[in-house]
Amino acid sequence: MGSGKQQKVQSSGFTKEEELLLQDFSRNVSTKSATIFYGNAFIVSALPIWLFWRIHNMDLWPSSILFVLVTAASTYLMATAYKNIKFQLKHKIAVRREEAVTREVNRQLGDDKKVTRKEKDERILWKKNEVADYEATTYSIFYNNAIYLAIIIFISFFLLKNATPFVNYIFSIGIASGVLALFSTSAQTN
Amino acid sequence: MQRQTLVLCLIALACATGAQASCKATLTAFSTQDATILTQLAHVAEFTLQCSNSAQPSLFAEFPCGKVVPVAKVGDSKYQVSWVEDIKQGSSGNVLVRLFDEDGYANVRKAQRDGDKVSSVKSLLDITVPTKSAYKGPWIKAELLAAVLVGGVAYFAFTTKSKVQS
Repeated sequence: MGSGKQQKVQSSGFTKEEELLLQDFSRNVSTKSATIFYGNAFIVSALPIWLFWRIHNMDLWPSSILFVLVTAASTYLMATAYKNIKFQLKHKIAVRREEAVTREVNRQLGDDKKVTRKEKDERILWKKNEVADYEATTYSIFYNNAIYLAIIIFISFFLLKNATPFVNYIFSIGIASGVLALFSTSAQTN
Repeated sequence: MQRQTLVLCLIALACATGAQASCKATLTAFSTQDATILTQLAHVAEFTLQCSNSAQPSLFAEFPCGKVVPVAKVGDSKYQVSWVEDIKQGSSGNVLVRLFDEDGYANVRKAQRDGDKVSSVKSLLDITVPTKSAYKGPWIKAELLAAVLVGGVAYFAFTTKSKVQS
C-alpha cells in the first residue's frame, strides 16, 4: 500500500480510493473476467451440440457451419449476459459483504501502528471490491448457465419436439441466449 | 335283438366319451419382452397333445374374451396358439385357453347361434398359458427428468438472485 498521501493517478486524474470506488460501480470488466466469461460462454454454448448430435440425431459434419455460427452468436450473447448480471449484482454483494470484510481486515491489521486510517480504509475498499467481484462473477455464470440450459431443454424437448432438428437447434439456442442477453439489460427498480 | 342293439349302443357311447376324456398337454409359452418400439404384444403357446387313443384332432381355442380361433398344427401332436393385445391393455398372469375338437367347435357354434353361453359347452381340454408383461420403457422419460432437475437449479438461481438484489 502507499504512504498515505493522496495518490493521483496520472492517466485518469483520480485518487486510488476514487479508482476503487469507480471500479465498484463500473460496467467494464477486467481482462481476466472477460476471459472467464467468454470461456464459460463458449463451453455452455458448445454443450448443446452434443445434445443435438447424439439425441436429436443431427449430422455433425454437414451441420458444422451451422454449429459454429450459432455457437459464436450464443457465446457473444451469453458473455454479454454474464457481464450485465455481474454489474447488477456486484454493488449489492459489496454492500452485503462490507461489514464482514471490514471486520476481517481490522482483525488482520490488528494494532499495527504503521498503517494509517486512510490506508486501512483503502485496503477495506480494495478487499471488498475483490470479494464482490469474485462472488458476482461466479454467481453470474451460475445464474445464466442454469437459466440457459433450462430454456434449451424446455424448448428443444417440449416446445419444438416435432420440429426438424435444424429448426429446433437454431430456435432453442437463439431464444435461450437472446432472452438471457435481453433480460440481463433490464434495470432493477428497487 | 333288442338286447343286442342296446349293448352296441352302450359300446358306441363308451367309445365316443372315452376319446374325449383322456387328453393332456405339455406346453411352453413365450411373450413379447420389449415393447418400447411396438404397438402390440404377442403371446405364443406351443403344446404337445397326448390323447389316450393317439388321436391328433383339429383344435379350436377359446380365449377368456370369448373369441374362438383355430389352433395351428405345427408338427406331430404339436400345436401352436397365439394372440396379440394392445400394449395399454397388456397384463401378465395366467390365461385360461379352452380347447375344442371339431365336434366341440360345432357345439360352440350352435351355442353361439342359439344365444347360449359358450362356457356351458364342454371343452376337450383346458390349458393355462402363463404370460409375462413386457418392458415398456423407463417410468420417467430422461428429458422430463433433465427438465425437472435443471428447472429446480434454475429456480434456485433465480430466487437467490432476487434475494441478493432485494
